[in-house]
Amino acid sequence: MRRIASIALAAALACAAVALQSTRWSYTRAYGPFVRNGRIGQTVTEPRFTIRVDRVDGARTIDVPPTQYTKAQQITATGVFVVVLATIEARRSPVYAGQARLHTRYGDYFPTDKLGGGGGLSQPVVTPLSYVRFEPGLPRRGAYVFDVPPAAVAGARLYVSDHDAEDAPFGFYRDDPRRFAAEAHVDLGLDTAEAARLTSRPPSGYSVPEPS
Amino acid sequence: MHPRARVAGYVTAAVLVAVGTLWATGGLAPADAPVPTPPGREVDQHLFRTRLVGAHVATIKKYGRSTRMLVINAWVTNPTRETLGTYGLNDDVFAHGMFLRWKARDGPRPKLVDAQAIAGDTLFRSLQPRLPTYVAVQYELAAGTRLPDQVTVALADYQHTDSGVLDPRGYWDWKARRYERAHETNPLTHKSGWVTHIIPVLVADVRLPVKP
Repeated sequence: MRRIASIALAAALACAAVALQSTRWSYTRAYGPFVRNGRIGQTVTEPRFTIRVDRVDGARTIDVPPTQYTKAQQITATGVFVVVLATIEARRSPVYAGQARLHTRYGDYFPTDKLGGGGGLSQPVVTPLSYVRFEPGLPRRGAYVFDVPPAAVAGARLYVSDHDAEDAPFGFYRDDPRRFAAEAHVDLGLDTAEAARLTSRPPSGYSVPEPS
Repeated sequence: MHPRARVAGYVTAAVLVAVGTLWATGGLAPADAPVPTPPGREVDQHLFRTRLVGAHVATIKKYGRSTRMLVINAWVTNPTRETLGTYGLNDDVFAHGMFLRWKARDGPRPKLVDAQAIAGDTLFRSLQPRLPTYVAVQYELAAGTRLPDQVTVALADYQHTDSGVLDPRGYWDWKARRYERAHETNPLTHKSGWVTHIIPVLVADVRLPVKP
């Protein structure tokens, strides 16, 4: 009887050890960003910046006007362009809101690199907000542009933080830009009906505004 | 000997022989010989879903110098939830999962120099989740290289490591067929040391006719 009880106790302890292993916090929960939630039209205040999403547009193609060095271009979406127009202001010191993602049910989409400027070696043909340095007291309005499958638009949320890899130079996993970042999560109000309105007949020849 | 003990001895011996045989032959892992695949058929690399559709020779003029290139075109879909790239330094970019099978008699092996996604006239390098993207992988041809009528392209398999010592967020890398250690010197820092390389599992061999 005692032997059976010992075996049962050993098995129970082994199961408990395995269960405890799987109940540890995930990396994101332990080290992930500090999140402030908001929604379209509302100002979200982070320690270093504020953001207000003003409007969300859809587009099939984007027109880029000619410059002194380049011809006029038309840039086509692989899926559909989701253009998020937002106003951002630094609170205490100059800041970039460079980490932007469109969080969807299909995954996280980074701003499209079809506008150029990849790797910081060249100037993008239209300046997205991720390239803008914001100054305190000088709010600027501009756009983040994402290229996503139409089916991913419903329920999409904008995630923005001021962190980048250079800003988190501590700890073993210092290259993770989301580690301990202050991140704004903005509900874009894209319910099924609104997503269908954006994606069913997106306009061609959309002009993305330069930051004001 | 007691009959029950004899049976137990036979069973133990049989298990030992079976385990030894599996160990000697590489276990129960599937055979990793690449499957001959016709052009245009989708290949599941786990990190990418790839359809190799053609190969051609192009002359590209850059910085006033004309270079002969072998260009391999593919439709690539990123099935993950994160944005990936066509070309970069790490293994988890599309171009680094492609290998040309090359015969020494055809001269110097073509050198991978870039891979760009194409949409209309726009070039870019991001592979957004679930957006099928047309990609051109470019190999520079040396003066003495003779291009055969057909090239065979092997595609590597990838696997995701959920968490590890190097990065608890998880990462993708080639699925290893085996590892090779080599003593190397960094050309920039001139530091020497042992480096471990992954020799990847190849999932498909795609033979493509080369258009001149």
